[in-house]
Amino acid sequence: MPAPEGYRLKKTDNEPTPFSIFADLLIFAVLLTGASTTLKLTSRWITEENMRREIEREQLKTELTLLKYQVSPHFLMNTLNNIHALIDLDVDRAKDAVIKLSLLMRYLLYDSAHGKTTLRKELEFIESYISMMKIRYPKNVVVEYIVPAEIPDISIPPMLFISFLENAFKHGISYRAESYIHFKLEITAGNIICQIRNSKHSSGNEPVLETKKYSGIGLANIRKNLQLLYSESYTLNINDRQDEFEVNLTLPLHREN
Amino acid sequence: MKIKCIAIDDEPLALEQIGSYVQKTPFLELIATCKNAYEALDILKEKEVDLMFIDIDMPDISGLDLVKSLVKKPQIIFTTAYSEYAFEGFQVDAIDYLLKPINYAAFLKAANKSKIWFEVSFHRLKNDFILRAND
Repeated sequence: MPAPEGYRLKKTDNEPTPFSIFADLLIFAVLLTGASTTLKLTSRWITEENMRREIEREQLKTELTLLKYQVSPHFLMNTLNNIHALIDLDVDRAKDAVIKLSLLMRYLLYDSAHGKTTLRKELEFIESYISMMKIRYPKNVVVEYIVPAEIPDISIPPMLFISFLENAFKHGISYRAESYIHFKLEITAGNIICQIRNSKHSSGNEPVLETKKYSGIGLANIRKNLQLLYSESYTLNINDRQDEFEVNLTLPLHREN
Repeated sequence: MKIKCIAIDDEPLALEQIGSYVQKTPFLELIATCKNAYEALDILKEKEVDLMFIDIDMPDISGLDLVKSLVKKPQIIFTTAYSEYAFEGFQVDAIDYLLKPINYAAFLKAANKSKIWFEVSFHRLKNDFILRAND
């Protein structure tokens, strides 16, 4: 039913009023802002997601590198070669060495992967490592391992001492002079104090093998790692003397975080 | 005629193993086993050596440095856990490169290479001699 004549609305469709222009602009502006915000948010989300992935990837890479360099592949190959030789020469010692190596590998592959271990396990690992090294080197290399009889039940990040010890074996041995490697760990009221010392050999006029210095990168990595784990609560002193290399690492018994 | 060998390795067990491999190979003769480069240099001064089995990663003087320092080189076979040294090893004219752990089959293969080399050069010498005799 058509509306009565008198009530018919006046057509205004084609004549924009100031208000309708304003409304149009407002809607347009709202849409634009909305779109740009969405765009911005999405792009931020993508960036953040990428960053997160990047961090994850970096972490994985670090973990893998760590795993690879915690104990050098050469250590493993040389140890296997010695066990291979022992099988011909002394079967019992060979068996013993396989057990020690498997302890060591188990620690490396499983325990240390969690980023947390107990001091006792860490020291067991150090002990197996030293006994493997003793198989490799002649008897005139003196290896000392001193730890407290009672090891307290505390958790520590794994593999903190091994790079220093590995380094000590790498640079501490000479066949022309007395060589020693000393590993000492003490527990005080609030700290774990670890000292690793090795003999150093300056070769006078002899043809000098370019003694690979403590690789700067290695040490920088260790410091970075310690910084991350303990921030300011650790101390690391390295004394590089003429005839001895000494590392002193002091860690708090309990970590804050 | 046997090929006169020495073995050099800082690790006693590894050295003993190479020594025993040399001894059980009929065409090789073990002149000495040396715990380090200095012992090897002494032997090389005193005795005639045809073939050297030498470890690379040793304290004081590395196997590579020792080989580089020699004026008159015997045949060289490197024995090492370091595969990354292979290239450098061949650059000093090593005839083979044994990666630890080393089994006897791998050892024998390398030793055979050396044997062939000696046979060839021996023939060449003989032929040279015959040619010269005919002149």
